[in-house]
Amino acid sequence: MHWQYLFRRLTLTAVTLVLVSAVTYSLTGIAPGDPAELVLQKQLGQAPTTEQIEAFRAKHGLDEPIHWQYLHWFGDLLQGDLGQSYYHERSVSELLMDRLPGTVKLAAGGLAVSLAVSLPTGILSARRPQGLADHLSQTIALLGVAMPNFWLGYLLIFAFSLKLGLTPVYGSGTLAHLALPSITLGTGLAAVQTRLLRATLQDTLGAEFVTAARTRGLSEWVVVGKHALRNALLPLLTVVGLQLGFVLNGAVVVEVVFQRPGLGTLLVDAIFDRNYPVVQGVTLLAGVLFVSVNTVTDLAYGLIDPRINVGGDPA
Amino acid sequence: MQQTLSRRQLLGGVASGAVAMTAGCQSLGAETGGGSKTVALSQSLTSGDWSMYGGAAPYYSPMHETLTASSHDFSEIEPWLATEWKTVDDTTWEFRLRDDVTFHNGEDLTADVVAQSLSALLADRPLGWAKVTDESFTALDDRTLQIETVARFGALAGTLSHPLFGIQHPSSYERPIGTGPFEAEAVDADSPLETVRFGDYWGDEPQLEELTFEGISDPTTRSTSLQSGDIDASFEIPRQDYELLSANEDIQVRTKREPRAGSAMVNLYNSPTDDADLRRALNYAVDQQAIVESILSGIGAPAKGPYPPMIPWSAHDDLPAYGPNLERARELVEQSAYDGEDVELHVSSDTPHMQLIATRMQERFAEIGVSSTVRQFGRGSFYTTEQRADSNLTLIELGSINGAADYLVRLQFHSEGGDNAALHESEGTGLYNLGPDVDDLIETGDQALDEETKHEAYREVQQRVMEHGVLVPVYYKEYVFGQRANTTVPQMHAVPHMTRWTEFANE
Repeated sequence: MHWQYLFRRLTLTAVTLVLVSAVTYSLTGIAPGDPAELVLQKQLGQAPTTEQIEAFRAKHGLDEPIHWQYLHWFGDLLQGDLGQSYYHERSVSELLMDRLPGTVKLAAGGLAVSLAVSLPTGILSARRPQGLADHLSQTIALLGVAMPNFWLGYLLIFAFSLKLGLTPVYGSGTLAHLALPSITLGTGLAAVQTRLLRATLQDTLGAEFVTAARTRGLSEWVVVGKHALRNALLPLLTVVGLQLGFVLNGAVVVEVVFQRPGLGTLLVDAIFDRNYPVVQGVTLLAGVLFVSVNTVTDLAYGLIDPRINVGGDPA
Repeated sequence: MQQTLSRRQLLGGVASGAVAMTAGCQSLGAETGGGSKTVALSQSLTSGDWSMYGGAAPYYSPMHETLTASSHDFSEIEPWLATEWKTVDDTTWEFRLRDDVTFHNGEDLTADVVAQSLSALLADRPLGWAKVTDESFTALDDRTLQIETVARFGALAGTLSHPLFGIQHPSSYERPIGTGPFEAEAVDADSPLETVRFGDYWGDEPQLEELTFEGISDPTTRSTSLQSGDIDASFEIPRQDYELLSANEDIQVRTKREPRAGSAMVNLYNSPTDDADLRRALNYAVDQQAIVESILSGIGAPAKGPYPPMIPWSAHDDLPAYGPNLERARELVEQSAYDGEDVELHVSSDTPHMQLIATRMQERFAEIGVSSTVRQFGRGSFYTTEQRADSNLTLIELGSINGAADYLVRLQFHSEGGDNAALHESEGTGLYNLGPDVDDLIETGDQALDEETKHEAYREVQQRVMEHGVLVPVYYKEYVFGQRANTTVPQMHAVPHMTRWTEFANE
């Protein structure tokens, strides 16, 4: 790894985040709906007066043109201030820090489940193409891709919570609470991973170095596990990095079905409520996480395959 | 720096994660039992800005109490923290307070504390519809509170039963400090609200030691949580689950009529619904009974007007039913100036049943030769004036959560009411306001200090509103409450936000 490479990635990340925040701000600004009317309606128990609406807009700078609002927000951001939620007596940073652990745990749980499924099934399928395990894993993978998260979530609740009484229906706090949400989120991820691993591992198993390893008399598990799998893992790692970046999408549905506090529900509620500072905060954080995960993924290539020199000069 | 990741390490990590998760599954068992129960609501009580109540919404929860209360069937206003009240002159009221009430911080309830509490609340939240300001409250002595309204307002006593007028001790807003049967030691934002029995409660002793309120926004999750026993009771159980839960011997499920109605509000100032004959035709076309039976699973009642009969001044009994009568509807369409223009029906994405109702209406309108379009909006834009001004019919559910309900009439039909004010001020129009005559009637009802005058005025408003087809009434709402069979029934209230929890316990 070269420090110059890291610096270039960080600079590119910063520019990307500025663009993302500007686009998000513009979109929320032109979306129909007035946060002043919505917030005051909730607080006052009925429609607010024109004066109350104007006072709210002035207090939150909503009476300024959208580009000024954005510049003010950006200026505050540079000082580490993400602003105040319209609906809570709390700062956006505080809300994000409250919700982030829930989403991180869910993402980690989903990833663990997906790898626990995709690695063995992908290897089995690749070793015996068109065999029973292959057909079975392909069918499950197709189901995993095709089935919407919310539906799978309800099915799991029905089976494991209502019928077997093994897990709680909703909530957070213990590993038991994390089990079904992780399976729900992880199944979709596993489906893609399994198909990818099967294809890449099949290619690798046909490579000359694998044949050479076999002729040296190494056991099949050593050939597959030590030699072939390491090569097949690189594309998988890329996909896992991208999947983690997009996990917020799946988290929205999973968090609602299992009533877990997290960034997904925070974002959706903020969009519906026109809670602009929170929308900006979550978008920015999601952007940072996405770019960070993918940078770490790039760096991890070097760890899995030492021949890869991330950011270095071409050989 | 180079590192290798062995297969054993990789698989070991994955396996240990799976083992930990399984272990977690085995260790679950947060079963509520003994003196502790959990109630699910569709929204968390600790989300949002409730700083004037110590961080928790005053709805549903048993921590804050009001001066007056609405009776469980919504028929009358009863004493609560105030034992009696009287009007001194047109705008001055005196409320006599109980002398045996203690706050959760050990302080006594006095008129001075109540005056400070309500003044602070009104300074923070100008609840204009209550016709009081932060300067309205004066303690005349320890037990007598004087309230000066900004205008003559006969519904003050009923209005003060709104949970938003719950009394929080003004010494601190760090936690809820009310006078209710349960108290909270602390409130964590966006978390379940945990309350414990308040030993010095002035009323009936609560049966439970602990009562927790959970926000579960997904209706199916609320229903399944009740079936699994993760919660002990739940409001807003989906109507379509009523039959299923009724058949479950571990669950009791019941419904209760609310002072709330679902209607399609008709924009009087937007073409083509600015034509009275067309509005009446739309009314004749809709079959309320069929909607209640098929879309609401039979839970609720067909509506004839904007307000259900449980509201004391509702004109329901005097209002003629429009139909359904497709033949008469077609005649009125012929008679009107309708030229084939699309009628726009607006619905909120938050109310799936309203989307079905809108589709059913669309089919019926097609049968009388009126073309229509259903447009769906997120809650961020649905309630805005701008959006409503573009609609012809807006499907809403509206009701009262205070004992007076008077503000609904003003809100919907007065030119300066919340629904109409902005457009009336800027364009001289509005949405559902018929004009000065109806405005006068509403003001008469608003200011009447005797019930008879008020009822007469409000009923006349409803007659005129229905005569001119200002809305298409659809249903009067019933809410569904489910609880585990091993629990006793709490004191259910027509307004679910006012449920009383002292009787809720193990069977």
